[in-house]
Amino acid sequence: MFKKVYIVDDDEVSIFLAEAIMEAECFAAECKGYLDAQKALNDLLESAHNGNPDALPEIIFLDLNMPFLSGWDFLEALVPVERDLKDRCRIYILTSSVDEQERRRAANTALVAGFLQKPLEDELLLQLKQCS
Amino acid sequence: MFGTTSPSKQTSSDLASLRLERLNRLLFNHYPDAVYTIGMDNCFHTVNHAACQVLQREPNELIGQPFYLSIHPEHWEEAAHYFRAAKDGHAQRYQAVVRSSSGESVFLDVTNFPLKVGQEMVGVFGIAKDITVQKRHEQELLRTTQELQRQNNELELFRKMIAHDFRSPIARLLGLGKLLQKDNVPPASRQTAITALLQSAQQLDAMVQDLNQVLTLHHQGDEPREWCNLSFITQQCLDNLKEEIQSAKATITLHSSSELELFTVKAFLASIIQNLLSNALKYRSKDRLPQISISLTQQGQEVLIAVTDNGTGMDLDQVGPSLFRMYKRFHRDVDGKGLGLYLVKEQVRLLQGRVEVSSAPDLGTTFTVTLPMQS
Repeated sequence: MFKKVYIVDDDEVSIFLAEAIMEAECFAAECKGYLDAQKALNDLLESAHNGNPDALPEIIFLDLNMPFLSGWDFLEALVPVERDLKDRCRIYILTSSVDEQERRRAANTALVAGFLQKPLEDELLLQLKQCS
Repeated sequence: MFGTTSPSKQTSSDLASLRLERLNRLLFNHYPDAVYTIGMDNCFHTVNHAACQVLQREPNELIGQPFYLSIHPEHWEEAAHYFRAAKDGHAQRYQAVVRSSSGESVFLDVTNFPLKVGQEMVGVFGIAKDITVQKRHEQELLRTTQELQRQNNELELFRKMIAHDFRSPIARLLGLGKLLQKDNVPPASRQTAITALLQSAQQLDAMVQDLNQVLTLHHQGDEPREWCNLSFITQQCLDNLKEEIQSAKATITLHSSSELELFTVKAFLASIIQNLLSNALKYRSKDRLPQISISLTQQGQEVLIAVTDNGTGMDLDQVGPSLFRMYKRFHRDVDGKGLGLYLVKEQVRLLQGRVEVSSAPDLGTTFTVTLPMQS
């Protein structure tokens, strides 16, 4: 079981769904849902700057299509702390989009560990648990 | 003997020169394009038949008159520039627009040569081909290309809409369905899931209806226009929104300078006003009661419809050009489908109007739609 997982999504139902399924699968001890991407970013940057690796989540599920701060903007803002995040924190894109362009873009983004399509499936959570 | 030629030779050379001169004159007069000479004083010296036809003038109305009187005023400057260059001894080829006596614009492909006698510049000799028909075709082609480009962009927008926006409620429905299949879900979560399931289905349904509305809009454009009383239509929109206005405890003020009548597509006009009003109500501030003012004014041959609210407002630098995009939402607390402003923009475009927005966070927003009185 993971210690801490972040879900960053502007859609309340998506956060509820991800949390509910993780709970049912005993996936993480703590799930933190962020409706506000900026807040999630601030928290991450703070933990990274403070050199406090335990405060970092092991997994982040990141939505792409969000107002004000999109998932791509979010990833870009994390580039300066890329080294602090590496090996401590895996970022998975979790989107409802079926746009092939976005999948390709994700494949070329170093910080992205994988591109997942909503809804989050329990088999997938099992796989993630196994490769941890 | 020096300097003399035989009489017989002289006659034949005169004949030849005579023929050439006549030939030149024939050619000059009957050449299908306008041919002319202009003196150093900028006045027509000679004009052929075609030149008179193009300008719809008699030769005596042109000869001795400055050439630029025939040029379209918007093209004076460039015509003067090319003409000076020709007078300086450089042949010029350019496009110009002249005006015939009836005021019609004629596009010309002009070639001007410097006209010299010996070493002395005496004026300009020119040929001008009427290219109005080609020019119109070119403009039409350009318009068609632009329209095609616009439609292509729209198609890409629709593709993105299906890939992103329609997938979103579908993914939720799938996820919620799968969650409900599990037997270890707590009752509270189960209840939330059922509510969310219904909401997502409703959202998907609304999106399908919206899409249908947008696609129908795209098949319109040559809608029948009719005279519409602006205050009357605004009042109708307010009546439609009566419940929302009451529940928001909103104060609405309507300023209308006079009875404004527009010759336009009634359904578009009503939809524009209703969408702006509905937005003003939707994005109200939590801290104060909504005050919405509608101002209807005439400015020349245009009508200004301004809707001002004291709502949440927005930072336009942040929002930028995506404000009018389909399914783009900027307020996460409000149940917006994000289609309203897109519809406003499209309908205003179809009515050859424009829409402007000014806004400040936490102060409010003003949308101003400008429509031609007759579109």
